[in-house]
Amino acid sequence: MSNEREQLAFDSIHELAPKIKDGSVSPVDITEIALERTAVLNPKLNAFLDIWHDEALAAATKAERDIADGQYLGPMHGIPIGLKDLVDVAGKVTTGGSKVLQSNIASNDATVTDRLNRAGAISIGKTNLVEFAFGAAGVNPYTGDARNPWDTDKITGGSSSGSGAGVAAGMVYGALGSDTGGSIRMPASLCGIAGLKPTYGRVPRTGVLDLCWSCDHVGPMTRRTADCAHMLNVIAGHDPLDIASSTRPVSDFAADLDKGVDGLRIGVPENYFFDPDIVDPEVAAAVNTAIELLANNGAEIVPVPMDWVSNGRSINMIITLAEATAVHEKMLADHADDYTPAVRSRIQSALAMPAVDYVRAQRARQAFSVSMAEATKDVDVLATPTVPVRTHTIAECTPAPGEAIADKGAEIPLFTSIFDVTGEPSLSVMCGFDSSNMPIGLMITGHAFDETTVVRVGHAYEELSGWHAQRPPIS
Amino acid sequence: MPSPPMTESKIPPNASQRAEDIANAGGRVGIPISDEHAKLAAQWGDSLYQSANVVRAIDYQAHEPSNVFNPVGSNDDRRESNDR
Repeated sequence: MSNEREQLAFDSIHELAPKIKDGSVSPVDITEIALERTAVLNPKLNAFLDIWHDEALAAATKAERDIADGQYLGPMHGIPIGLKDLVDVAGKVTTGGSKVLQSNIASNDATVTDRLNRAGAISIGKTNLVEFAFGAAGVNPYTGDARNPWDTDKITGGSSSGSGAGVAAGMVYGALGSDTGGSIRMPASLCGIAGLKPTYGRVPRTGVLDLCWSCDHVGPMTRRTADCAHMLNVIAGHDPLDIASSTRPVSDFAADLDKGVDGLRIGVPENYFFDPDIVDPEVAAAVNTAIELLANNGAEIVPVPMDWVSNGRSINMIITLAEATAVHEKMLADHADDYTPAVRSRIQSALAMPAVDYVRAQRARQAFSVSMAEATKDVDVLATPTVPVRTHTIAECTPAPGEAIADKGAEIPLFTSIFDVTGEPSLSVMCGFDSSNMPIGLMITGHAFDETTVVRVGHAYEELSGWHAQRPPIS
Repeated sequence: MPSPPMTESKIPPNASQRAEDIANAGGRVGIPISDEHAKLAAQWGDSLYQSANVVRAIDYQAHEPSNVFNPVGSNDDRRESNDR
């Protein structure tokens, strides 16, 4: 692939959109580039489970014709994207990364699929994931593991493993992920891209496989924060078919992108998130450097005490296990042998959990969320590491034969899962490399329904640091 | 909200008891679980019991909500009363 075409592959939606609108960049060209890169890279990365070559080119041709006719639909028009394979596309199989659903053909588009189609996005296929989105490392013995483009022996993070790898490798400009304990932000962090978990209820889940009804979020994964804002503009908004969908009006999430951080108050937790017993020193150093850069550009850094915050991981775990077991009850009864051993055993482990533990966790969740809102009422966002540890190898995160649990990986969701409990919007952006040249993520979390400020800070940080422009060494 | 206690408030069952509990619970809801698979499921027991004990120790009574199963409603209410 020529340098010019490779450059085009790594351009952002934010940069491409005006060029597509004025006709200087062709949707057909960039779709062909995406398909070429996917053909070359997917055997190495296993990011995509299904690729729709002809349909994608047909959609791109239509987009190009419509734009030439003056029917430009907005920044996603003509942009090649991927859909995590738990999102329904009418007439296509939604496997959830599992043999259990290998013949599960969707009869309708998910609401997010429909909204992206109506915005003119070009879906080129379904991305890999952890079986039923139930795992943080990204490994999946049924579909084959997605591999990290920065080092193919390393995990991508999960559960949106293929979305993380595919976006980082320049196969697509954006992808959908889902996040119940961190499944958008963990792969974003480990693959060196931006991933935004919107506020709970902001993006409808209609037509998206459930893992945990009260913690599931759907959101965008892209190479830079501005692109997350553009994707969110398309997929956000009330859907009466999703009972948890918020009726709150949707504003332009990209409106404040260029306002910088001058005058913003950025909270830094005094507890847990920077505890040297939990956080790798290289991760802490990179995140502290990022916070210093924000401070040097006008943000006020505010220490925030929260000595209760570690409880969030336990609350998330109890709620997720209980609800996931209920979600899978029927399928487990009928198709238990089609599950992979790790996911099957994890779901089954909650069968003996007393119901009262689940109700306690939901009650504790409310108290936890009130405590978080009170602790953060005087700041605009919190800045923390996304993942506390450096990137493990796939081998370290794969259970040995006869075992349910791998040697490593349990620490990966310690921080992200906290904001699945509160439902607050939370973004991971790249903030440097560790000594093994693997990306490190900065997590920026805001108040409920204030995604605009979260992406404002993320975009400002990327403009100041330039980390988002790094490309993985794979071709 | 207090920090969780560092010791477990309830002695967890051992691995074989956990496996038996899981197999029995599966049987009650129509999910047959072999001994081999029950033992695998029981491996997750430590983290599950530890989390359950953390949750049991949380003082949530001071914030008793009206509806614990509507997180989006809670966020909506909170945001409207404290918009910035």
